[in-house]
Amino acid sequence: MKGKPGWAAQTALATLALCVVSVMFSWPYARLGTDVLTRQNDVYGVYWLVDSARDLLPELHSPLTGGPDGESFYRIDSYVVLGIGWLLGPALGAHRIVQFLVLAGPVIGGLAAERCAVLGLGVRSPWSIIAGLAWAFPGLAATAILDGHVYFLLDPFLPLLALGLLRASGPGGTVGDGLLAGTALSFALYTSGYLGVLGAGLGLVLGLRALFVRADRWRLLRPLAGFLVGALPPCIAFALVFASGSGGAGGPLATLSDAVLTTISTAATQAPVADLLEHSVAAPLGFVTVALLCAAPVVLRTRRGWRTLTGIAIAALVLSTGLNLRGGLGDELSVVLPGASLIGSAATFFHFPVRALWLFHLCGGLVAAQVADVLAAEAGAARAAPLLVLAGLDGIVLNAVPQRIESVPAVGPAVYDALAPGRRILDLMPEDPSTGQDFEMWMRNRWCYFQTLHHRPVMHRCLGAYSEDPSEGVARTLFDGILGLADASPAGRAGMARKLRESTLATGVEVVVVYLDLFEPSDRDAVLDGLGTLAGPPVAWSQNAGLTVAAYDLEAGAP
Amino acid sequence: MTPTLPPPGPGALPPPGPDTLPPPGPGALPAPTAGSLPAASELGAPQVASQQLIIRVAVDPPTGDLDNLAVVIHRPEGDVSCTVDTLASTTSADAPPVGSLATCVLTPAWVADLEISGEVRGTTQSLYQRIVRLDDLHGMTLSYVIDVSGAQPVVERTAWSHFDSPTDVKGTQVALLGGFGWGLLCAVYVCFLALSRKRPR
Repeated sequence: MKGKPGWAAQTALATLALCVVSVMFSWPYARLGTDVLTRQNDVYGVYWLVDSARDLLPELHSPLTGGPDGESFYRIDSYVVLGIGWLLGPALGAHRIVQFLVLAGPVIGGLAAERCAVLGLGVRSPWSIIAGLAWAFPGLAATAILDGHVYFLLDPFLPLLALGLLRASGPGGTVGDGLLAGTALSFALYTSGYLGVLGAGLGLVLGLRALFVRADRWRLLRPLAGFLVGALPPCIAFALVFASGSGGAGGPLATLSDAVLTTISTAATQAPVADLLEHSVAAPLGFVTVALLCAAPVVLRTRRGWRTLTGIAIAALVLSTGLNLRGGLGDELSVVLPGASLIGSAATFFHFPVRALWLFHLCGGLVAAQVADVLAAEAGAARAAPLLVLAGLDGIVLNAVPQRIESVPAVGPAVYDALAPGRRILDLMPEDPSTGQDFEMWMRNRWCYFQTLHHRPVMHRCLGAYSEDPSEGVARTLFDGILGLADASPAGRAGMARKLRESTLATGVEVVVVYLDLFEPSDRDAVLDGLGTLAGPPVAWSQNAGLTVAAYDLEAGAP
Repeated sequence: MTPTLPPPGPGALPPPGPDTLPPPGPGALPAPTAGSLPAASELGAPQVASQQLIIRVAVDPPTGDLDNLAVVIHRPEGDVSCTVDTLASTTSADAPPVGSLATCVLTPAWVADLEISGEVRGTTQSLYQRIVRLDDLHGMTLSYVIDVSGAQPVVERTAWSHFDSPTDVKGTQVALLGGFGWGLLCAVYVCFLALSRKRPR
């Protein structure tokens, strides 16, 4: 019988293992340097959200983005990160908080999964650590670091939800177990809408299972009451806030094939092309988890409690493919599975079905830990010990995050510092007429990050689809007008410039900051000439952070 | 008109010196490099068979008549004319000035001696963005600008493409093989454990 010291020793061992793997998984984050560490661009948005938290709460409205009217934030990705930013941002700063999410988030989440294996399924330590490793360091965690959605990394909530559900649906289920499950579901929802939906699915399946399996169903009422108390008020509040907003992710996709799905290649391992073209979305399942899961029907045949979890894991895996089995990474294989048409239109609401894999990693990891526990008991602990090493290395080997991560100096163009505080800025770059929005997303996320450094009001938004950003139209009109000046006759040029300047000022723009490196040379000259006609010489310009940037003050300058 | 960067005005920052520009690093925007196309071998195309390379020429005409627009890609074996099929929808006054105007579908063998010297004939007066976008099916996207403002068209890499590293086909293959090899190791070990269990009586 284990006493309290045993519990403490187990937790210490699991924490140590998770800390070691976390450092290796996300290296060089553990160096705690000053650079931004990522591969794509979405982490800049997290920096902005954390930095702006004090401005956004309690109205969920940003006065410093979105032009004179500001911008509403009813549909942000993660209210949990917003809360962390509000609480700790002033003391730690956005940079340290991002480092905390990346380094400590998986450790906290992994510990919750490990405890779920122990307390919910009776897995013995140290084999329960396999559940923690599977949950904390899968391909989706690597994608969260590299693509930048780092708020996914701090998620002990789904494992705690599973723990609460497993205990609540058992013979001794209490109100407290239900309350734990309900509260965890709420926090999962506030961490990310995807995690909330996945948690609801998990709760539905485990709840229905208990309803069918238990003879004394009425005993479920007490944990159910606890669950409703923990889940209903926050979830209703979330739904109301979400419904009162607009914008966000940009609405349903045209077809499911436009969504980010799990493919055969990306489920196996990462590859360079994923970083080049797929926003670093490669989601290796983890071969230790898969191998142990495959062994479950043999090893756990006579035991209980693993079939439902295995079923959920498999269902999550299938759903993450959008029922379209594709080769991925350049392979043209595409097999549409039965039922795809049934879920197709509904599933287009979710831009990232691949995120259903979080449920695979949770349930698959729990079953894997059960299998490892039985294997250790029946084949010998010493013989099974390498499983722990393999499980620790699995995420590191398959995801190769340190090899893929890039270090970006945490500086912005110095030109902003030369501008008077409070002047509203329109950042100007050339339009990219290609069909994708990668360039726009990249630059606008950078601009939002630059704002955390200069803290001046800007015209563009920092949330939602860029096609819905009104500053797009302002920039396009100004751009067209500037280029039109080049073709105008000398007599009409001054009048055109005056009208263009007035119409631009009427939109709220006070300063135009133009990113000169991004223009094709002849366009750059035309833009400089046109802005000079509009606002006189630039009030400031800078050449640092790899960027040549000039600022024109429309109010101060006179044509 | 020789509009270059004007001298800094009152209160402006001092002109940037050589020390202010950090060395190019990850995340820094590369400066435009006129006339530089990647070597054909960088594209990794010879390893990819039976796929097509699609070149899209997209222009952004604020005004102007583009009825005579034609896109011709010169290649050693002979020129390739691109079909221009969406012109009407993008030259309308109300339509947003964005769109793919010409598409060339070529075979990958051609990529091996990729040498674009684009020519956009027709009304060029109002064109301010001319982008050739190469999408090959093994996962690489490159963007190019054809500058037709001068007498001779100039092709240059756009400054903003962050897809400008070559697709590492070999790297993908190695990663996949390594991943599956690791998986095989894990599977064999778990099988070994399962087989070496002492069966309960």
